[in-house]
Parts: sequence; C-alpha cells; structure tokens
Amino acid sequence: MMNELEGNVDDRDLALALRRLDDAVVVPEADPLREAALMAAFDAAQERRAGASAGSTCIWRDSRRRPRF
Amino acid sequence: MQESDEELIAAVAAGDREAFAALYRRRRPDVYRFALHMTGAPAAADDVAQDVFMTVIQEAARYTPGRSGVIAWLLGIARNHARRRLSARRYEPMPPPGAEPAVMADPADGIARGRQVEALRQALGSLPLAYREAVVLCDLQELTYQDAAVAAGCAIGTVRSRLHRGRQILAATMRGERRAFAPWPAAEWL
Repeated sequence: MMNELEGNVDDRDLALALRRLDDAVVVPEADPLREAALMAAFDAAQERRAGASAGSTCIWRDSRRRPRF
Repeated sequence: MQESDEELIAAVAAGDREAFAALYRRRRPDVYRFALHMTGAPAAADDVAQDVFMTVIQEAARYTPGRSGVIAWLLGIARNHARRRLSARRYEPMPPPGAEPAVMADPADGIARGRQVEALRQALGSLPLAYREAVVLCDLQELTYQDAAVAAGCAIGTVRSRLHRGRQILAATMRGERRAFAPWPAAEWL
C-alpha cells in the first residue's frame, strides 16, 4: 500500500527532479561541418541581399532618369 | 563588454557575420536542450538547432525587441521545427534501444538517480505535446510566462493552464514510477 510520503509529490519536488533532468543533458560540441554550412548560408544570404538591393536601386534610378518623350 | 542577445540579433539583421557566429555559439546549447526535451532524440535536436539558425539567417530582421527575449524568440522557432519533425516521425519506426538521448547521471549519485532521470525523461516524452512545451519552456528553460507564451504562440493564461496540467500528469506518473522503485526511499527518488 502506498504511504503518505510516497503519494505527496508536489510542484517543488517535481521542479527539482526536472532540474536534475536538465542538468543531466549533455550538449555535444557544435559540429564544425554544420557550423561551416551555417556560415556559408549566411554569406550566401548576404550576397543575395546585396544583389537584390543593388538591382532594385538600379531599377529605381533607371525609372527616375528615364527621359520623357 | 559582451554584447547582449538583442544587440547581436540586430547586428545579424544588418549582415554582421561575426555577430551571427557569436549568437550561434552562445545560444545553440539552449536551442539544443529545448529540442532534445521536445523530440527525445539527439539527432533530431541537432537538426532542429541547425534549422533554427538557418531560419535566423533569413528572419533576424523580424525579431521585435520588447515583445520577447531573444531566447524566447529562438525557442519559438525551435518549437515549430520540432513539431514538424515530431509530426514526420509518426510515420517512422521508433528509435532502437540505446539510441535514447545522451543523459548522463553523476556516477557518485548512484543507480537510483540515474533511473530517476531516465524515468522522468520518459514521462516528459509521453506528455501531450502542448503540455510538454509548457513544462520545457517554463520549468526547464525557465522562461517567464510571457516569454513562454510568445514561444508557444498562445496566451499567457493558456501557458499557465498547460503547465499546471503537465505538472499534474508528470507528478502522477512519477508517483507510479516511485512505487515501481519501492526499494529506494521516497526522498531519494525525487
């Protein structure tokens, strides 16, 4: 039969147990290949943005400077 | 002086490569932990962490300072990726024995504590997803209710009620597990 103490799991005890669970997690070192892939993706995104920005600026200037006939 | 998360994300949005690398190194462990608790699989947690920072590359400018902390924003992204993977996993076989997450109990604490951690991990993994999110965000990641609500995409009251229900289920599960481990005293178990 379950005794009183066994049946009394309150939030504080649970929080403590959850804390132990989190403390027990081993976070592996970042994989250099994954990190390199991220940095390459970042660089590619910046290049795309720079290209898009330059392109849109060019179109805007072209439209402003287009001579009227 | 070390830049804050908010300063880093603003720099990332402005195209600062070093800021992105710094944010990744600083916050990847938080994202990985969250993803591991949500998915229960180290490989999936690694993939989710990668997906999150891929998303950051595209979406950094969408972070709104003041609405939530950067961690909550990152975990909100992680939540979406983790849900997607969990949804896909329903059609895959369960991971084989021995492929469970890397959870290391302190050897000095003995077998009982190791079993306790493992039992709790299983109980957490069996919680309904919405309750698991609330428990992981509030009790493990220690976010405020407001930040947890932003990360989970719901109202603060909803986070509170999900957290309450999740804790109830976990406590009930733990009581059942503790009975199964009768040789260990109750105080030792939790």
